[in-house]
Amino acid sequence: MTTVTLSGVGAAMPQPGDAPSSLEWLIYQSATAALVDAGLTRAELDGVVIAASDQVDGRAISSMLTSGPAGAYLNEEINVASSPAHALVTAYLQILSGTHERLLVSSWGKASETAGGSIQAAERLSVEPFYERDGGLSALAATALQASAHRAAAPDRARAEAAAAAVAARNHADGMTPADVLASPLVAWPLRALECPRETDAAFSIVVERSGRAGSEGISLDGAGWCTDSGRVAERDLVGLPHLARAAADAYERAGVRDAAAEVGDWQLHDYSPDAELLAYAPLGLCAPEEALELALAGAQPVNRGGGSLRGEAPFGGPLRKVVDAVSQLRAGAGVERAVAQIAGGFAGQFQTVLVIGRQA
Amino acid sequence: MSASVLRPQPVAAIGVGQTRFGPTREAPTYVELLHESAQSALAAAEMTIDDIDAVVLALAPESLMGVNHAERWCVDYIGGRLKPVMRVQTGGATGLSAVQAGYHHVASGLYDRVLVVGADRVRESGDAQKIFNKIWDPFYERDLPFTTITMIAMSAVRYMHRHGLTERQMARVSVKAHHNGALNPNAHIRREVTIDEVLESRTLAWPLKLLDACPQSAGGCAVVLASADAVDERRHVPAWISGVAMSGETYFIGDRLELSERGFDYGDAEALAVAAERAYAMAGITDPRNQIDVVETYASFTPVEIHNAEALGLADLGTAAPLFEEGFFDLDGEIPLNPSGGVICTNPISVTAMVRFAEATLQVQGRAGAHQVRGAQTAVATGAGGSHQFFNVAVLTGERRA
Repeated sequence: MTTVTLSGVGAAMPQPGDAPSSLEWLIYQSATAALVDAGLTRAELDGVVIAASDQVDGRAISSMLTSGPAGAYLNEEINVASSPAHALVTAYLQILSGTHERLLVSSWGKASETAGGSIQAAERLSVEPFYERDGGLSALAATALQASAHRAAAPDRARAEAAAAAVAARNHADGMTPADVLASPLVAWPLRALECPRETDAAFSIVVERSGRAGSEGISLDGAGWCTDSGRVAERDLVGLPHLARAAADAYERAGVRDAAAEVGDWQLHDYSPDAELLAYAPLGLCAPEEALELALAGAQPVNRGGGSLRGEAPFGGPLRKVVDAVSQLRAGAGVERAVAQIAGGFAGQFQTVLVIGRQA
Repeated sequence: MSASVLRPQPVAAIGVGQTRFGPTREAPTYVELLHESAQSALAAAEMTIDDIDAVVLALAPESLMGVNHAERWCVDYIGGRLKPVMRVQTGGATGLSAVQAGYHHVASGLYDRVLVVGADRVRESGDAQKIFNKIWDPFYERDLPFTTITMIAMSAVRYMHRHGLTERQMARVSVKAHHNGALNPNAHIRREVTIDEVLESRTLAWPLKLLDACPQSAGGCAVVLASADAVDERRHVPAWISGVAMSGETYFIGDRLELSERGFDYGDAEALAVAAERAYAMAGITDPRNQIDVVETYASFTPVEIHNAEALGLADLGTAAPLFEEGFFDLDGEIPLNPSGGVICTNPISVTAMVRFAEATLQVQGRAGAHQVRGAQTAVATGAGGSHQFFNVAVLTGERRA
């Protein structure tokens, strides 16, 4: 069986006060950082897989511009526009196919380019146009609907709110307390401001290789699974997340994971809201459904160590940071042999991808 | 592409579905076109959606129809609920890029049956050119002014200057395309034209005239890809994907004006040549002129078909135009080019390149009807997108080579 390695990761995350960067520069920075991390040059790649969102980039056929700084000039290039995770799994499939040996995956989002809430406005234009668009659904509204469904389904609503606040405080990773979260203003009921990610600018790149090159070993992509649910939010099981369970089952089977809770030492989970994270525990096998709130309140689980999306998340491509963070955790050691990165996209996580990432012996 | 020890699992196209293409298709909505295409391909593959393991959606710029990230909306209409679904977008090359993604699903050994599907209603936005006027770099090139028409007009002028191409030679390509399109029941434009009609048609951007150009079409296309085991299960007639590759060019047209090391410039299609070399290497094609039976190439304007023939190795650089005049690429010629009528007769952008693949599949399966090339066993399909920037090539064969 082919081993797929993640031999290099790169991130470009401008901080407040940094000089303004163009989108192309952000992409180029992350791509070159990943290549340097892998010890490669662009000429050694045999393909580039990007995930570019026309809606977020504000361009028609964004990849015309953005594939270049990702290194695709006169090379293989494909834009998998549904999710940055789908770009990564496309590279995974290409390596497993044997048609490619060394690929760069890149995705991004630049919220500052569309300041003033226009990303949420653009999101509203992705809703089914005939019957549902006039309802005003946006990514934030869909996330809030899911959080509402979660808290309504919980045996004890107050405990669900407390668990969500605990998760949010942890994922901000800046000393924030649950009390701070609960004191922040409501933005989309029941979500409060500190339970929603701040939109930022970032680009992430990952070198995906077939094992065998000296210097490429270390971190492997042992399995990937991805699955999709209905586009009609009202018809979905927003609490049970059957598509996430299917994605996890596929990823675990491919990676040979039998008992995820016992075998996975680091979880980088989708947390566009704290409720989304809590709802993912059971489908991912981290715990039984009835244990999720207690687990979160106990605060001991190795989830989103270092912080989650609530630290700030670039639109569309930002979730690729989950993979970068998982690789960082595995490289740091501390007895962690396996990590799971979960990336979700679409309204209330319509597209779910689960990646099992391991440290090679 | 690197030399490979690991070999891809064999992948075949076993079912093809196309809607009838037309200017607007008023009745079906976008998602209904998707559904119709998917059902048609599944029927051709003797399957239902329950047999499908994963779905790839071909969706080019969603701004053409005004629904952002429309893959979210489409899932229920392509049988994607609780299945792996992804969407591919490489401009005009999207349809073949989506096939390429579907190919890798199966070639990886993880999936046995994958549905690749897409559709477009190009006139949904009123005039696609207004969308395409915004694809250019806003700082350096948009003001030239570039459109998808003027970019090819400039390429054609360059080719004329370098290789002596005439407008009459371009018109001959259009005559061939329309003749073939008249035989294709799905084609958007189904009428014969004469060289004089082409030459007298309205100038869009010199030297391109209306009948040198593609239409804006509505319609859908789908293909079912399968592993060798799945092919054997139901004794399908397979068209094996023996080679598939893509290559991107630089975005900036100004950076393509000088001669490259291969001797190509903006009048040619260098990235198509690069993609073809890779795909041919996979398929074991060393002598394209003698090993390829039929080609469905993405040529949205007549001069593009001429330089594509050269990039694909069917003629030397600068020599293809006289071959078109001699009938070398006619339906009954040595290497029929676009027997379906090609993009000149049908252009539903998200699936234009997939239609090339579908038609190549039908040729290898012997199911192309009135535009069947007798004995076709090796077919090539190509796609093109962006600022004549993204190119892909697939080689389909009756025999299993991979």
